[in-house]
Formats: sequence, C-alpha cells, structure tokens
Amino acid sequence: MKPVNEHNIRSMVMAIDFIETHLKDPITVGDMADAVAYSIFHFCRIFNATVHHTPYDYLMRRRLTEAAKELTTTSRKVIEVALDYQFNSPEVFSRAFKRFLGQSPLQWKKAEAADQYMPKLTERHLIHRSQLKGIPELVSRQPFVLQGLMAPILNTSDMDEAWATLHHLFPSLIEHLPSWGVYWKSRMPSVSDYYFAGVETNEPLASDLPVSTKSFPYTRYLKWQHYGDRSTLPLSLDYVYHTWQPKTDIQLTPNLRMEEISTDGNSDTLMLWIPVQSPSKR
Amino acid sequence: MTPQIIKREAILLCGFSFYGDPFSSHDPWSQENEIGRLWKRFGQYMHPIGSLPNGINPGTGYEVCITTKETEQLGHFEVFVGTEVSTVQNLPVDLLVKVLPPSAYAVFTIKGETIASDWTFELDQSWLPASGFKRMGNYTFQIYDHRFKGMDQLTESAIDVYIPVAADR
Repeated sequence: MKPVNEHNIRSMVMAIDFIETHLKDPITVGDMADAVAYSIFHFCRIFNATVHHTPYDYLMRRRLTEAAKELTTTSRKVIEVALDYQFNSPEVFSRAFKRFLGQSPLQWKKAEAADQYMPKLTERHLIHRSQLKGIPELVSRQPFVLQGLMAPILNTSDMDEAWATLHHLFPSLIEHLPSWGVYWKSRMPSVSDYYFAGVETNEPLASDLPVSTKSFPYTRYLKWQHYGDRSTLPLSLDYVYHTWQPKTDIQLTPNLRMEEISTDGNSDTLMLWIPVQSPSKR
Repeated sequence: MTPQIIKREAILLCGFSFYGDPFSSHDPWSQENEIGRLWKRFGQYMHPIGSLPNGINPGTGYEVCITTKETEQLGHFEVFVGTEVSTVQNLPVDLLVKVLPPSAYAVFTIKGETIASDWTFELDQSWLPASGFKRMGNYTFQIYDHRFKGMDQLTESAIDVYIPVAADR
C-alpha cells in the first residue's frame, strides 16, 4: 500500500471545507491556496494529486450540485439560483448545468430525475483516493445469465438477507458458481431501489421457488476492482461516477451496477461492472 | 535560504509551451503530469538533433512558470520548457521562442526533497519580506542542468530557482 500523506490530506480537507463554506461567494483558486497557506502553483499540484479534481473543477461541480438541489427542493427561480452560485448570467449557468447534468435547469426542475449530484468529498474519500490501485478499464462481455432473488431495498440489511435466503435455498450452488449482486437505483424518490443476488449459470435452478432470471446482453462495461469491504464501496462509486467518468468520453448507465463477488478466505472482494451507456458525451 | 542576486540581460529561450492546469488528471511530480510531458516532448525533439542553431549551454534546460490573469481565478498557468539561444535566426518552425526581459534575479539553489516542496511559498513568506527586494514580473524560472538527476533521484539533485526582483525602496 502507498503511504498516506497525512499532511497533504489534512490540508486538502481544509481546502475543501473552505470551498464548501464559500460555494455562494466569488472565491478564486488563489483564495483556496491562501486558505491553506500554499502557493497557488503548489496548491494546484497537491489538490489534483489528493482530490483527483482540479480545484476549479471541484468548485464548479459542487456549485452545480447545490444549485440543482435548490432547483428541485425550492420554488426559487433559475436566475436567482444562478446568481447565488456566482454564475453571471442564466446562459452561462444553463450551459454549465447542461454539461454537468445533461439537462437544462428548467428541465431538471420539472423532471426530478435521478440524482447525479457530486457529494462533498471528505477525509475518507481522500484517504481512499490515496490508496487507489489501477484505474477502471473498459471491457466487452458476452451475453450472460444470472439466476437468483430480487428484493426491494427498504433497509440496509435487505441485501444481506437476499444472500442469506439464496444460501439457504441453494447452499451448494452458491459455493461453486460465480456470485453476482446487481443494484438498480430507482429514478424516482417514491420507488425503492432493487437488489438482485444471484449466480451465473445457464442451468435452470428450480421451478417451484421464487427464482428470477436476468439476462445481460453483449455490451461494454467499466470493470474495476473495489478494495476493502462493502462499507467503503460508496467511496469507490463516488470516484467512478464523479471523478473518473467526467474525464472520459464514456457515459455510464447511471442507475445500474453489478458486483462480481469472490470470496478469498474470510473476506469478499468486489469487482465492479457498470454497463457503458454510450461512447459519446451526453 | 540566502540567494545570490544577479543581473541578466534579456534571455532568449526556445522550446515548447503548455497552458492550463498542469497537474490535472495525473500524479504530481511524476513525469506523467503536463510539465513532465512537456519535458518529455522537448527531450524527444532535441535528442536526435543534439543542439539548436545558436544554442547556448545545450545541456541546460529552463522551465518558466508564467502567471496570467486567469491564474488566480482558475489555477491556470503557462509553463514553458526550453533551452537558451543567442538569436532567433534559423530556428525550426515547430519550436516557440520566449523572451525574458532584462532583470535582476534572486537565485536560490534548491536541493533534495525540498525540490518537490512548496518553496515558492517559503521564499515569499520567509525570505522576501525582510530582504529589501520586491518581486517583479509575472514569471519565475528554474534551471535544470547536470546537477538534476531526475524526479526519482531528488535526494541527489539540485536546481536553481530564479525570481525576478528589484530593490524595494
């Protein structure tokens, strides 16, 4: 494991705190450097290395995220929100917004679409990023079939329960076949997310049991090993969706991800598979 | 750190330039960031030809960091990497020329791991205020010669940092 540079992480957490408290103020990258007592050149170097965004990119993404939240949760006008977050004109705001979220601010306000908000990055994110091994790769995969149980996610324990039930029903199969978790994120707040716990096999498991079959077509996937347990999975996902993806021309399917689970002794390792929606920018 | 104060006439440099955030998307101080890529590109250009027409000290490389109006706002810089020439005549068309004006410079020799630290901030905070000098211009440059062994051998390396200054009366 790479050594964690605690000093840099502490300084960049401070820088992020400064940015987060001034999202509505006319701050510059120079102000951020001043806030942590770095020269602007060195600040840019350390910020990029630690946060994996340029300081200006981070500022803009977080401003757009908070602006988008305000548009969906309040009745404020687009122009008011735009000016609040230091966008000098509705046109500038609209262009940046569309690039960031794929819709105009007005469409966004009406649609209440799936959130693609970039969260505030925390110390845990920065430590996780200092330990990254390898970057996501793009691979094509032949069609394949999973069989298992589908469950709505109402509580955090629901995923574990799906696995426990599957183990109970097919104890021997689970041991020998590749295991997959598939996560469908609902696009609407009123509909729950779904999780599918299953195994990869073409043989029918059993007919009198509540087994569902999911077929996945030939397509391209982002494939990336997640290190650590499930508790740090959100950190890897934030990296993939909000940091890695914007630097590429890849559009990932926003509401579906798959986890290939392999057990190595006592701990699970997760290989993330996320279908690529289209090769071009939205 | 105590600098040498020297005066230099205009310096003519010939090389390549980058504009933007030089650290975006890659590790710092590895040769993968934009500055490392610029050096690599320049090295690959120079290697087969050895030296430039009218070249001065061909083994000595200059890295100039120029701040612009957008530096404060966006964190964008111009970084120029090149070598010194005596005139601009007969230079290859695919190289750029940078003219640094005549100036006095505070010259610091930076050694070892300090090369990768925030020496700009250190100098501005600890040396400049009591020095009797003020910073001039919107650029600084570093000289890399035989004393610089590479980013992976910083402990055995040294560079000279040039900061344009004038007496602060």
